[in-house]
Order: sequence, then structure tokens, then C-alpha cells
Amino acid sequence: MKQDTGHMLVAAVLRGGVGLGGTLLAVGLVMGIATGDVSTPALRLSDLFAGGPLHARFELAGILVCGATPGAGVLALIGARLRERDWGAAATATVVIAILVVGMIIGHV
Amino acid sequence: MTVGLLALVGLVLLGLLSGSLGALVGIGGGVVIVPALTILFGFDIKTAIAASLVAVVVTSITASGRYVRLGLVNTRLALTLELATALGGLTGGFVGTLVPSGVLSVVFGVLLVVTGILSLRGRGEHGEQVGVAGVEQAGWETHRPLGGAFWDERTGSMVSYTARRLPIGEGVSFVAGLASGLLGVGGGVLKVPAMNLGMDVPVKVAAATSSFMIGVTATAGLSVYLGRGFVHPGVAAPLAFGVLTGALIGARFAGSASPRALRTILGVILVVVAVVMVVRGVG
Repeated sequence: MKQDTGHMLVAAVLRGGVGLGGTLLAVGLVMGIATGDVSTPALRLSDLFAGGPLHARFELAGILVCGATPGAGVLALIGARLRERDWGAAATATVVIAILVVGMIIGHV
Repeated sequence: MTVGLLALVGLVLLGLLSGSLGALVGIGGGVVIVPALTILFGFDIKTAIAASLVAVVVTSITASGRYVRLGLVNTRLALTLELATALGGLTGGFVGTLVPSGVLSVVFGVLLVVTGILSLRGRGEHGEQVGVAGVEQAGWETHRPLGGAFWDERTGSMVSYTARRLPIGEGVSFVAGLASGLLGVGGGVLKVPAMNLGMDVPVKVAAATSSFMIGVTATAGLSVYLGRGFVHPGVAAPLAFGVLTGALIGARFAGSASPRALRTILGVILVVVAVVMVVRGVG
């Protein structure tokens, strides 16, 4: 049994995502309440930089950061496993990412 | 669509409850959030599922950020099972139009009743203390066979374990992925009992590992809902903010909670969720 050096890296990625995503969500919420704007338009990814109220775009940015964080965690794991020369675990993680990407592409079509 | 101040407070409270319970027992809370948003708040089903997926991801990254650091997440086990879940999710996307969702809801509900009763009956104390008290290094894993060790805050000792009967875990994870693709739920309610009761993984590791997995699974679904414009930040953001706070609280208490208490909470949630699923399926 050996200590897993990848854990600290993955934990840092996840905590970074929570910190940044949570901050953006909080800023958006406070802006919405402060301006009295309680509209909740449905936004697409493309609305992030243009379209919709500013507070909603901050909230969308927070959601995007949170949504990207699990994938970033798996990518960090792939890096850690490659560094440890644990080819099997690295391959498993890569296949997981590949299946998710295929699912996303199919879902968007 | 507008969300009043009262509804906003309600969304934060729903998130707090869902996030704290979800972090404790390794579920995302989608099976609770979706009915609550549609029945109590009156949102349409697509808005509810999109907001629920955001909540599942936030519960996952908030709780598992702490669990990974503590060495409670077995990342090798998580990704091995996630392979089956991802394939199940992909299959669910293909066959979604062929299987009536009502039928699947009832089947899913019955499955949950069985696992809920098994959890409440108290089986599932796994792992053995390995007598290296004072060693608090996190993140010990083995890969042949899959297993590891973690520092148990409650007993003040290292506990080692081996994951057995991998095909059971793979099979249930595939079904969880299938349910995720068809019903818009995370599948944690199936994965935790499968790991704990089926694979002899200690409940704390099962909950933490499931917590890590559900975020990865939900990301794929969330991207589709984002791409199609079903995400209402005004609904998802207050829910996610509540979830984030709740998951931080839940994850803080999970390390020192007793396995029996965790299994009891999980069992009660499973039975309640099962009733909701069967009612939805029949209705």
C-alpha cells in the first residue's frame, strides 16, 4: 500500500472550483437582490458574455465553473496516475472522460 | 419567469437541507429536489431537472473536496465504477424513448425499498482496524485488489478494507447510470448501498466515493441542459448556494458520524425516495 499523491492535487482542484464558483454565485445573488431584479431568464452558454441581466450572467458563470470542476478533477487524476506510471488507472479515467464527451456531443446534437 | 424573495429564501433552504443530507450519505439529492421544485415551487420539469443537476454537481464537488483530502474517497474504485455508470448513462440516452419512464420509476422505487430496508437492518459494518493509531496520512489505496485504508476520526484508528464482488458494483453502477440518463437523477442512492452492502466497502468510504462519482455523472447531463437553454440561473443559483453551504456542514460532520447513524439516515432517505418514485411512476 502506498500513499496516493494524486489525492492532494484532486482535492485542490475541487476546492478551487468550489471557491471560485461559490464566489461568482454569491456575487450574482447579492447583485440581483440589491438591484431588486428577480427575473430569471433561461440562459445558454453563449449568453455568458452578451445577453441577460448582469447578475444572471455572474450566476451562470458560477454554474459553469462548478460544472467544469468534476471533469477537471478527473483530468488531475489522469495526470497523477500517469506520473505514478499506473497506466491502468490512467486509461480508465481517460475512457470515462471520453464516454462523457461522447455523451455531451450526442446530447447537443 | 420571476422568483420572489420568499421563493428565493425557500430555494436556499431546500438547498441547505439537500446539500447537508447529500454530503453525509453520498447522494446528490436529485430525486428529492426535482419533485420539490415541481410540486412545491411550481417550476416546469425541465427547469427543475436542470437546477437539480446543478445542485448535484455542487453537492459533489463541495463534499468530495473535503473527502478526497481526508482520504475517504477511493479514486480507483470511483473511476472503475464510473466507467459502468457513464456507459449506463449513454445507453439511457439511447433507449430513453423506448422505455416508459413511469415503468422505470416503479422499478427504481422497488429497488430502493429493498436497499433501504437492507440499510436499516444494520448490515454493512466493513473494514478492520489496522492498529497504526497516530498515523493520519490520507489517501491510501490499493489497486490489486481494489481497496485501501482511511483514518477513522470517530475511533481514532486506521481502517483497512478490500472491495469485493466488483461485478455487483459494476452492474448496479450501470443501472444507476441508466436511471440517471432516463430519470435525471444522480444515482447515488443506488451506488452507496451497492458499495457498502454488495462490495463490503465501509459506509464512510462508500458515501465519499459516491459523492465524487455523482458530480462526474451529472456534468454530462448538465452540459446538455445548458446547451439547450434550460438553465435558469435565478432558480439554480440560490439552490446551489444553499447546497454549497449545506454540503460544507454535512461533510464536516460525516467524518465523525457513526456508521450506524449514516446507514439509518440513508435507509430512511431511500424509503422516502422510493415512495416518491413509485407515486410518480404510477401517477
